[in-house]
Amino acid sequence: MSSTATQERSGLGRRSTSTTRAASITGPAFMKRAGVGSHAALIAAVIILGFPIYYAFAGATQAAEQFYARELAPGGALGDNVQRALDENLLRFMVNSLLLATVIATAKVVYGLLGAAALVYFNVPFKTFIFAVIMATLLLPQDVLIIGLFRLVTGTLGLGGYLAVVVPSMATAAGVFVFRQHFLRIPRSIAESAQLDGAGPMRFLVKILVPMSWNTIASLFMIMFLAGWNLYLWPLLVVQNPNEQVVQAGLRRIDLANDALGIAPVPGAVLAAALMATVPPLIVFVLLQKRYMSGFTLTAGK
Amino acid sequence: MTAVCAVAVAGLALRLWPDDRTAVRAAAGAVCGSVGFHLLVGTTGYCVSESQYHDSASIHVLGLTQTVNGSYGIAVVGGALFGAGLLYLARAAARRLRLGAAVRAAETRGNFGSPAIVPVLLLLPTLVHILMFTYTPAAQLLRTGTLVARLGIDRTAPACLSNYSELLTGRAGGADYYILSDGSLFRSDGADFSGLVFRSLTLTVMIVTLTNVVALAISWFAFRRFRGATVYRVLLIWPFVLSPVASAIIMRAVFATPDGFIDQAFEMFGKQGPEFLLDSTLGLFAVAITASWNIIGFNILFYVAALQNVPTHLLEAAELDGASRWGQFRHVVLSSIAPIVLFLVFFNTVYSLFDTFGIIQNQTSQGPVVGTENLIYNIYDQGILAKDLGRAAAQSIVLMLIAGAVGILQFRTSDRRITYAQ
Repeated sequence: MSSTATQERSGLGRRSTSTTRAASITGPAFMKRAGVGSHAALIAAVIILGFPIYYAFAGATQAAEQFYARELAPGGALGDNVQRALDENLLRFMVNSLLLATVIATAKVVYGLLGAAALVYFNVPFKTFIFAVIMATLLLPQDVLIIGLFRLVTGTLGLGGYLAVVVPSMATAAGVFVFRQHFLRIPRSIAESAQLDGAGPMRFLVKILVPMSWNTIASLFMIMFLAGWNLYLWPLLVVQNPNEQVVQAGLRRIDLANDALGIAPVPGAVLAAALMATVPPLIVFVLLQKRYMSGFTLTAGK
Repeated sequence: MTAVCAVAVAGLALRLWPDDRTAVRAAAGAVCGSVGFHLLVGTTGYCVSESQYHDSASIHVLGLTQTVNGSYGIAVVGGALFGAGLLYLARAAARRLRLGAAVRAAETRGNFGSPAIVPVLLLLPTLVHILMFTYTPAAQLLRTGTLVARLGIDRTAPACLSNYSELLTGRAGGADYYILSDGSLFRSDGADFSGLVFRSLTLTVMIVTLTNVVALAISWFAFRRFRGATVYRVLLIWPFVLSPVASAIIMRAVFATPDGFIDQAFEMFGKQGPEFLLDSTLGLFAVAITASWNIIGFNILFYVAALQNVPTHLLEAAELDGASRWGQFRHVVLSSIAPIVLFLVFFNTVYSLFDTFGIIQNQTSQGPVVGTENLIYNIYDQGILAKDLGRAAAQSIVLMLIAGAVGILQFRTSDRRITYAQ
């Protein structure tokens, strides 16, 4: 097991499966090419997983009467519904979240990269202990700490608005972990030869380590951007000014405002808002798609 | 009290630590026992040794009335457990470091020796940050849990362990008063704590099982290399960019009665659809389905990559040995993707315990029957809406312990059964 694992980790296993396609056809049953059944299963999975989104899209284009008449076809009220969502300040919420998520994701990537580099390429006393202290925070996510964090951030530190959201969310154990795994996979000889060539630690970091880590950086950035975009409970507590609110809490505002309108709320508006709020992370997902597909293939061997 | 704990842990160390150095073991146990006692009891403001908080019970044995003090028991047992934990951690760390020596020699090859300040500066942002925004609030929680504290009021009163003992007796929230339609006053008992814990765990098991089984089944078809495979993968994975709140809003439209799709589908067969969002049991299923739908793309992403990395020659060998397809799957495929399974189970568990807040609040909490709240929802409900910080902090500690227990269990399993690189 261990010898195959190392072979796979060094990339040999993967290379052989990807370069010799014929081998996978004649290989074990497990690796047989997809037949009609596989296509049918995949199409069914795509339809089932995608259906709620279509349903939401159809709802977003319908006026209230159409929605309550339970029509499945798109209607013609998309403009009205979008306008209603925008009237509730959706655009402002999205811009806020875009800003916050970008800052948070960038900070997490940079902190993680630096911390992991220190743990892998330097002699740090109590290395195992420090790593354990960092990893233990995986079990203490922000959501369970809100009661303790609230007083600290708003009272002792006196932070509010954007800063109250960004400042407590800048470090991450996952970032340190992922970069550490990635660095451990890089042959030590690269660091050795860099030193023989007279490169200092900073030069090595910037000129060699970062260029070798773009896939990991992109994957982590996407995950952390998504986490920042999805921040909900904490901003719900600390952001008082509605103009500084994040998009997820904004969705709830739109939902509640919509509900308060009367006996028959317009589901189209909030469905349109929910779909619009998914566009920015979708763009990040598509832009970085190639990068993290290969980035995750690398880390998958773990 | 300190002495009792020190002796207890020293005894534990002598009993459980297989080693010859009796004196060292006893001393380490005594130190950890006394330190552990103060670390634990100190956060309660030493209230468990003050007479005003004692919940004493009388026991009649052989005609003698003996007053047993519950709080002293908590102090000794808690302190001793804490000390034993410290001892265990210290021992594990010592072992790791000694074992790590050989590994480190290879690992440190090519390390940068020059200015020692550099790695410190590199680690500083992360360390300062987690110390300030993770460990400090965690300690603050431990302290707040022993206080009567209200949101927005600076003054607090010591409550010793009553926030916790209330949870043990089952009450997790303040009583609510409702005026019924006939004008009478109805008093609810507040949330039932064991119910909250049960629902949190049930929801976690449901979400983790559903997500991983379905994701693995889908990845099974999607990981192979064929024309259009990438298109399928992207189409299967992308829904994970939806936020829990957006997923809840979208799935609410699907599940709603009588306006939603499920209801409509049932009606086509002349039946009335189940009231997913109004029934507390079905509501739990609805939350689990929404959550699984929300995160399944993430799991598929990892499973596809993991399945592609299954070593082909092992499968060929298994096939030559006449292993059935199921046998190949169980013994070769599952064992080689086990690290990824455990990693995903851990992340899905964290999601189920904490991120379901957004789903529950936006999907089912607006229904007339509220039966889907879990711990994280109740912490928000108690701490922020009802402004009762002390109770919410005690519940946060319980949630932390649950998350910690699950995490340690998973890491221990993975350590024992899986060999990681390096």
